[in-house]
Amino acid sequence: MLLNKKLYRNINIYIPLTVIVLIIIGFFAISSAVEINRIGSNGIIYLQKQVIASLTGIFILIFIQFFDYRVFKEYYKLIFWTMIIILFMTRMYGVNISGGRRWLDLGFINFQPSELSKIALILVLASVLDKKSEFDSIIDLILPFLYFLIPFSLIVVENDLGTALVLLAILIIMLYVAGVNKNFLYVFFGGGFLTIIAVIASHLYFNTPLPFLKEYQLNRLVAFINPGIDPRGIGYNIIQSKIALGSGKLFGKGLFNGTQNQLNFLPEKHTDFIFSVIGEEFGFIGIFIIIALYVFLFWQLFKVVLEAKDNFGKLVVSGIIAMFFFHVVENIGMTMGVMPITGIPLPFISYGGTSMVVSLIAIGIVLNINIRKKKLHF
Amino acid sequence: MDDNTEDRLRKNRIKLLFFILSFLIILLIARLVWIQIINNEEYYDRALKQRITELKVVPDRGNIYDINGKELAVSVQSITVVGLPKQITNPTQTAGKLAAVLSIDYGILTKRLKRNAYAVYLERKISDQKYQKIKEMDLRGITFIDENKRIYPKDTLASQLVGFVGVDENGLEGIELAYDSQLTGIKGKMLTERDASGRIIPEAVIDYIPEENGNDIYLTINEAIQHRSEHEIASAVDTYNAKSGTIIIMEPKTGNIVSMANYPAFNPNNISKYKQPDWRNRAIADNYEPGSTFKIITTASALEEGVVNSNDVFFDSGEVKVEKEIIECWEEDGHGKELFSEVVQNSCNPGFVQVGLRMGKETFFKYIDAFGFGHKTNIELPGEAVGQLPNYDNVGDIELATVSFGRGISVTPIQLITAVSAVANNGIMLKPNFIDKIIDQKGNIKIMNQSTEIRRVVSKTTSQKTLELLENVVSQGTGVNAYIEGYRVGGKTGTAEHYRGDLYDSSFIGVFPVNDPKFVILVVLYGIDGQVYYASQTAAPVFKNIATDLIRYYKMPAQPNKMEVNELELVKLDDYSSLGLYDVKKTLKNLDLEYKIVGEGEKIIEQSPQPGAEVFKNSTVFLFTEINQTINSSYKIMLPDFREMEKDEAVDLAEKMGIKISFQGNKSKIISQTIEPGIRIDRDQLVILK
Repeated sequence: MLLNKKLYRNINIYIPLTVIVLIIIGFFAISSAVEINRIGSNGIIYLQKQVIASLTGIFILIFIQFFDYRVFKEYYKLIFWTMIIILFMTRMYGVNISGGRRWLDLGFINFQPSELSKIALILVLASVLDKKSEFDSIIDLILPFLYFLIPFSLIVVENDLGTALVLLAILIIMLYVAGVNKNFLYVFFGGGFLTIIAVIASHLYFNTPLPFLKEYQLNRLVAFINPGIDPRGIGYNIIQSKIALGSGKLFGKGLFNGTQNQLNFLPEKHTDFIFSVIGEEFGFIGIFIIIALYVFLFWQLFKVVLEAKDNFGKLVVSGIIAMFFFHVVENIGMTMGVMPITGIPLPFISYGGTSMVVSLIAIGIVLNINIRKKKLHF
Repeated sequence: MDDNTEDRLRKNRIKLLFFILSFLIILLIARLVWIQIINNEEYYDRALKQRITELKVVPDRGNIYDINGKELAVSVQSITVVGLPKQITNPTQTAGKLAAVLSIDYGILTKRLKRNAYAVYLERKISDQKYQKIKEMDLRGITFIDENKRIYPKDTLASQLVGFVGVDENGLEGIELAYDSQLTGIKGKMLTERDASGRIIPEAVIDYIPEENGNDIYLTINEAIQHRSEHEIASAVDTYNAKSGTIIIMEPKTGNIVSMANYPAFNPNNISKYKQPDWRNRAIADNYEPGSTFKIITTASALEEGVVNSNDVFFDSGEVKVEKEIIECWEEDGHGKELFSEVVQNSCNPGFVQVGLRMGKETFFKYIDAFGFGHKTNIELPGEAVGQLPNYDNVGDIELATVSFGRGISVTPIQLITAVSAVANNGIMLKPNFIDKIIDQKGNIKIMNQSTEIRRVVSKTTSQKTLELLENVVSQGTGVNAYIEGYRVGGKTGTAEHYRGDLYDSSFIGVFPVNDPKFVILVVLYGIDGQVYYASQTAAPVFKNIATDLIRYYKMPAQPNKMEVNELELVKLDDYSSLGLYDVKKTLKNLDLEYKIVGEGEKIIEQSPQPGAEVFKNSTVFLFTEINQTINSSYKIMLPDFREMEKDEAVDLAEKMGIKISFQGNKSKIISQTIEPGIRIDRDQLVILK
């Protein structure tokens, strides 16, 4: 249970540093988005909560370092079933907020189990995939698919389309890294994608019923294709976000000076659209720095994958990359109108306690794998 | 597969994944470059547009006062109820509560409160009581704004002249419309920021251009006199069973209108209760046949042209034949032998026909035009009519004859009073005016009343002669009901058929005092449907009442009436054909005779009356320097009824009128004449009397 000094020396210090820089940038962006500068504003409460969540996350991150990550592999069934039970409980007793039962009231804190399910799925899938060394027949894939489909279905039933898509992204990338035959991937995911397109098209043109997807979720998709259809309604978010970004120009309007932000034209600005706030107030330069930081982080995470001691470690970090990457691309893409709106937060920056803690846990697992990397042969 | 190949596959896959992900990131950055760098102006403008609002700051509308500063139209602050639908959680409940107080229907209120708008007007300009009630309810999403409301403190007074405004205080009729730009002022502008829900950010006023309040207008109208004349016209319309009526009082020396009254009137505080015809300012917008009042124009024109003078001798046998038409005098038996002054006094149509025809179409219409008929007076009010003249090309002798006594022509009251005021103002026509001054809110005078001369129409002499004739009308003729003891009043009655039906338009236009005209008053009663319709009995007494009021109001001193007895002196004419024109003029002047040189020639070839005739002083001698068709037809003579006359009497009359007669038989009284009376004969035509 002691942290070996040697292990400590192995740490890729760029990863925690980048994460801390992103979190601090997030503090500024949230402060502006909740109008902390205004007289009579209660924005400070948001900042306090975010700081507490970050500290909690960092605390857990450090705590994780005391275990060898392989312990997750041993208890993957426990992890899996705990996840399933929590998701069920959310379904039964969850708090209903904006169109989905996603929150579990723990008395002292509201907590979003679907966020945690991402990590759980990564650990479970990595464990399952690690057991097989070859994936040349469909039969080899049945088990991983079952482990995926059960939580996935529960989340789809919760109407959490965003998280469902994240899980899908995790699955694809992990299968890919696990070395699954390319043809399977083409058939499953290409076919699946085409099916979804066909179902939506048939709903739009022939009014056939829509499985899994709610009308408002479809509206978000339609708005993403053409926000001008209803600029005051479903297209509003996309239009306002693009105006925020565009009017920020190269250098931005300055902290607390974004009019789209401060005059409340931007919706969900401290959570989903925090990126637009940064874009408006710090311009292209500011955003470019953020993206560069993420790319830098991904690069470091890829290094962790390549240096990981075992296949399980590689798979876990790949899944975490998939999760972060999907979050970043989807969130940023949404703010500039190239992705549909799904309500996925920007890791480390968006306001939200569960998201912050889960992201830091993910980083904690990455660091755990990182410090226990394979020895280099010189 | 061994571990090594598997490892390599994985490594390659991981590297490929990194490149794919990087590529996606690059795509995002490319999109970002497009939005934030290449296309950023568009988004910048849109951000600006949606947060900047331009608020108009409405200035206070100027007031309208009478000449003494009495308020005729004022703007007061009043409250408008506004709903903010976005803040209202239960529109039906709110609507229900409001419907109990406001005069707007519950259904409409609900609809408005549900509208997808930041703010909706619920009811504009509500009373203070209603405001207090709604304020007490303290409803969420219901607020109030101050707006100006136009109030007309004198209700119906001068309603058609003052006009009224719409709900946004935009002038719709009358002075409110004509002087809208003066009254409105200049809107201020306030550029301010608003947030996404439309709330104005109070500390974020970016730019402010202050509003300029409207100017105040002082009219030449005198509220007291206006009130009196409205009362008079209302009671006259009622008494004589007329459809409507108009009174205009004008100062001939300035063109200022002291009163412009119409009946029926309307209350501009409550326009919706009245029909549109009641809004019309009949004084400027109604055409009517002036009838005999137009004889003032004929008289002034003929005097100016010299074709007639006060002491010219006429004979009215009760009718005159023009072409194939017989024109009758209102006096069935005719007025007999009469001087021109008596023709005017008696309002004798055949006499005026003679005068009109003598002037001829070209000359008479030149004067009609110069007096402003057929044109707008350009009084600065909306809706002025122009009257209607007979089509010049179609005017023959009959039309000319009827126009000379005011038939077959239509005029507006303002045209007629402007023309008669020109006669009263030494022949100079002024533009009718009702603006005394316009003052801005700082007290600077923007516009000060000054008379605008349009043109001189007749000479001062003609003006005075005409006024004297008009004075006779009132002191001895058809206008006696307008006579005021101790004051010199001149005027003329006019009775004509209403433009349709068996109704009459009766009017009176009077000037006083005639030696120094202060006021011209026109009274018109439209569409009288009653036993009593003659202007002398209807409009003339109204004039008298108003004139009496004016005398009292302005404390005008009494003066002796002109009581000079018209001493008629006789002069014997010579043969002037041998003399040069200059000498003739001089000779006639010395004899107190008027002359009219007819034709373009240089030598006199004929005269009328004939040499040797005994004529009255101040009558006209026609000197012909040219004879042609036109002249002959103009200078025909209306044949008197010689029958029953003594021979001497007949000779005397024929001499004075320039008729050639000869006698057959030896009777002392004439029993017959070869040509019927009322026929217009040529000057050289011989009439044989028996």
